[in-house]
Amino acid sequence: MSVSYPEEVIRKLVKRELPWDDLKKMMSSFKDADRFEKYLKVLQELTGWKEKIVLPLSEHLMIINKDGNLVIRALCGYEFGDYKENWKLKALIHVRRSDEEFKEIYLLPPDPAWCEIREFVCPGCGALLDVDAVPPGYPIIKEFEPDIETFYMKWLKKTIT
Amino acid sequence: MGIGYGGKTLKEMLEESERLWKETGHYYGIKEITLAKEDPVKLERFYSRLLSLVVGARESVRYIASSPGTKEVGELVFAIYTPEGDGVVFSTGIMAHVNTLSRFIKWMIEQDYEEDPGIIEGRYFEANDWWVGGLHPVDVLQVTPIFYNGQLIGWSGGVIHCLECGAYEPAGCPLSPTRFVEGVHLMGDIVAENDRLRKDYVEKMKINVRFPELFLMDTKVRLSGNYMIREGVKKVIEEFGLEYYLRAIRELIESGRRAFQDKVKATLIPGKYRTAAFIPLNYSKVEGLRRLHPLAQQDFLLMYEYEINVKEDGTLHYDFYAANPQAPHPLHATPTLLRGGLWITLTQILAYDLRVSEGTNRCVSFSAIPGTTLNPTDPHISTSNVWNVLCTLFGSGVRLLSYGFFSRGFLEEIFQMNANDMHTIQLFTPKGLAGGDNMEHAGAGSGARAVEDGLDAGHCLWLPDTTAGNAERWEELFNELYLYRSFLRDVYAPGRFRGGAARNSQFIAWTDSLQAVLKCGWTPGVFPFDKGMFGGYPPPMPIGYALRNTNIKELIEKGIPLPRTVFEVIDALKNGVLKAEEVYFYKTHDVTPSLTYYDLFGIVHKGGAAYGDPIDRDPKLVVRDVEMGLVSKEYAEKVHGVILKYENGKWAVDLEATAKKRESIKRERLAKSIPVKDFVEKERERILERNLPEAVKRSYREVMKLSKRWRDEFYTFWNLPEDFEL
Repeated sequence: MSVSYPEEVIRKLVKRELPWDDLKKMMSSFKDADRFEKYLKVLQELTGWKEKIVLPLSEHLMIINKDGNLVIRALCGYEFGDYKENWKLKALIHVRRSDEEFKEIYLLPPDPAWCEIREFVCPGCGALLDVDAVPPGYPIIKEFEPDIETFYMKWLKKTIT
Repeated sequence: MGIGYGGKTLKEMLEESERLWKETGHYYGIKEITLAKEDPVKLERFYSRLLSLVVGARESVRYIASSPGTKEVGELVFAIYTPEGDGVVFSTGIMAHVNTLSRFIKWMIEQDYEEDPGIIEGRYFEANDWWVGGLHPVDVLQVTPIFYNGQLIGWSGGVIHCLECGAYEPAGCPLSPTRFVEGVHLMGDIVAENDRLRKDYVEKMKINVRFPELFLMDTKVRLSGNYMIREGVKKVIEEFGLEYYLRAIRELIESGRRAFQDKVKATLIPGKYRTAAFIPLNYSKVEGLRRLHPLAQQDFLLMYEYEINVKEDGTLHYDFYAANPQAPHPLHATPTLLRGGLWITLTQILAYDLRVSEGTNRCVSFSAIPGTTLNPTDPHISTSNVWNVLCTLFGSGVRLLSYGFFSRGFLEEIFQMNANDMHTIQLFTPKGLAGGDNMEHAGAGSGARAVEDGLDAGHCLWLPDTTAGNAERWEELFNELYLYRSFLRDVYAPGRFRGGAARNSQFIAWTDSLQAVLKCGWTPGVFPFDKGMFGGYPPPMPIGYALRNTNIKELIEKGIPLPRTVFEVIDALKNGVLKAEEVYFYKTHDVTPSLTYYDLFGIVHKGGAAYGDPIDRDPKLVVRDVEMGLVSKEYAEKVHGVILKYENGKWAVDLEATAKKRESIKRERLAKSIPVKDFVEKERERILERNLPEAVKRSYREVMKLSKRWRDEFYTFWNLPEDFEL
C-alpha cells in the first residue's frame, strides 16, 4: 500500500515534535517510499549546509558530498574525513575504568576488572557521539560501512549528488 | 514405496526440494507465483484458514496448562510444515522456533524415521536436544505428521517453554557445564500413539523433572494443539483440494521470501554492520555457587565479533568471525539456534508485517567457525544457557539494524532491546524437590528508541506476550511471597532518550526451605549486555540479594514499613531497623542458601540502553521523571545538565541555568578527553607489556587461535610486531 507524508510531518519527526498519536499511526502504517528523499531535504534545510547530505550516520554525524568527496561532518561543522575511515579514530575519547568513574553515571556500575566505558566526544563542540563498553585492550571497531553506491545506484536508482 | 506425496519417500522429497532450490534460487523451483495472480482472494482465504488454525490452537490449548509460563506468559508457538519440514505458517508466540522444528523434522527424515521407528498418523515425536534442533532443554518441541489419503502431506509442530526439565539446577537456563547435567533429553522420542500419551513417557517424566504435573500438562497442551491443527488441515484440504494445498503452501513460502527482500530494500541501507559483544562468566570467586561443576568454576570472558552484511539483493548474511572455543559452560549456540535468536528479533523489528516462513528464513545465511561456541563440534557441550548468547548477539543485532533505519529516515523503527535478569526457585518439599523459572523478568524495561524513552516495564522481546503473569499464581507455585515491585531512582541508561528504569522485585520465602537461583543478567552483573546508540549510555547492572534470619516478622507485627528496594535494604541494615544474621549480594548467576519463612531475597531487573547524548534530553522529560520519582534533582543536574527548581509545589526547569550547565558539561568533556590517536598509543604500550586482566588476555589468545581475521585486525589496529605473543 502506498503511503506518503507531507514534508512537514517528516520535519516534526526529525525535530521530535510529532504528537504521539501521529507517531503511533506512523509506526503502525506501511513505510513511505519517499521517506529518504524528504528526510534529506529536511536535514539539508535544518543544517543550512551548501554541501549535499548524502547519508545521515547518527544524531550528530552526516556523510556529505564535499567537492566530489564523501566526508563525515558533525552538526557543529567539524569534519572527520573520508567516510570509509573509522570516524572514531579522529574523535576525542574519555575512558572510564574505575569504580569511582563509573559511579558518576551508574548507581549499579559494571566491574572495572572486566569492563571499560569509552566515551567518544566531538572535537568541534563537545557533543557525546558514541559510548562503547568493552574489555580493556579491545580494538575500536568500525560499526557501520554503508554501501552508498549500491544504495543510490541499485536501490534508489539515482546518482549520488 | 514411500509415505510421501506420489509414493515418494520423505528423503526423496527433501532431496528434490533442496535440488530445486540450488538449481533455481527459488523455493521448490517456483519462478512464477501463479495462484496469487489467478485468484488472489482464494489464496488469501486459504492463508487465513491456515493462520487461524495455528493461532486458534495456541489460544485455545494454552488454557489446558497448569504452568503459568504457558497459560499466562504465553511461552508457546504452533506451526504448519511442508512434508519436507519447511515452515509455512506460524502462530504468535516464541518465534525463536521458526527454524528449530524444521531442523527437527529434517533430522528425523535424514535418520530415516520413515523406516524405523515409522511415521504414522496419531504418532507424536518430541525433542529438546540441541543436536537435533532444540534450543535449551526446557523448550520442548513436538511434531506429528499430517496424512491425507494415505500420503504424508505435512506436519504440525508446537513448542512450549516448560518451567524446568530436571537439570541439576531447577531452571530454564541452568549452569550446566556439559550435556550430562542438562536434565531430561528428548531426541525424536515417540511420546504418544493414537493421539494418547505413552505410559513409558509419562512414567519417565514423573520422576525426572521437578514439577511433573506441570511438565506433563504442557505435553498435553502440545498434543492437543497439534491434534487440532492436523484435523483442521484435513478440512482445509477438503475445501481447497490437495493439489491446490500443496502448490499454495509452496507459493506462500516463495512469495514470503521475495517480500522479505523487498522489505530490506525498503527500510535498510546495504553494507556491513559490525559489533563486538561480551559475556563475562565470573565464576571463580563466587562463594554462593556451591554446586557448580568443578569444570565450570573459573572465569571466562566470552567474546564475539560479527558482521551483518545487508546485500544488494536484500538478503542478510551474519558472519560470526570471532568467538571463543567450545568449553565446559552452557553458553553455546549452533547455526540452527542462532536462527532462533534471529527470528525472535526479526519477526518483531523487521518482518512484523510479513508472512514469516521458510521463505524468510532462506533470506538469511550464517557463518561461524567450527569448534567455537557458536558452531560446536563436540556433541557433549551444553546449550542450556543459550539464551544468554542469543540475547547478547541479537540484542546488539537489533541495534545494528537500527543504524540502517536511522540512515534511511525511519526514526520510528529504531529500537534497542534488553537482556533479562531472572530468578528460579528450588523447593525442598516432603515429597522431594520441586521448582522452576519464575517469569517476573517478562515485565522488565526496554532500551530507548529514537523517538521515545525505553519502556519502564512490560518489555521482553524474548517472551513475546510480555506479561509476567499473576503474582498470586507464582506465589502459590513457588512459596515465594511478593513484597514489592518498585522502580529504582537514578538507575537507568542515560541519553537523549533513556533506557527503561530498573525494576526491583522483592520477596520473602514462605516455606520450610527454598533456594533462589538469582540470575543477575543473562549477562552477569559486571558488564553491560549491549552499548547504547549515538551517545546514549549502556544499561546499568543488575544485582541480586538474600538475607537470612531476619527481623521482618517483628517489623510486620509492629507495623514498621519494610524496605522496598535494594537501596532501602542497605540503608535499613545500616541504621539497624532491618536485622539479618546473613546478608548476601550477588552480581552473577548465583544460588542463595536455604531460605525459610521471613527470609528476604530480591533481584533488580535493569532496563535497556539509551539513545543520544544525555545533555540533548528535553528538560520537560527530566521534569516528568523527577515527578515520577525515577530521577533525583542531583542526577538530573550531573548527567543531563538540567537545573531544576521546586516552586509552589512543582518542579520547574531553570532554562538559563540549564543552558549554562550544558555548555559547561561540554567544556568539561573537551578538557578531560584526549585524541583517540594518543589513547591508541598509550594502550598499545599496555598491550605490549601484557598488562591486561588474565581472563581477558586468555580470551583474546583463544579467539586469535581460531580466527585469523580477528587476530590480523587486532595486530593491525594496535600495530603489534608479528612475533608478539599476548
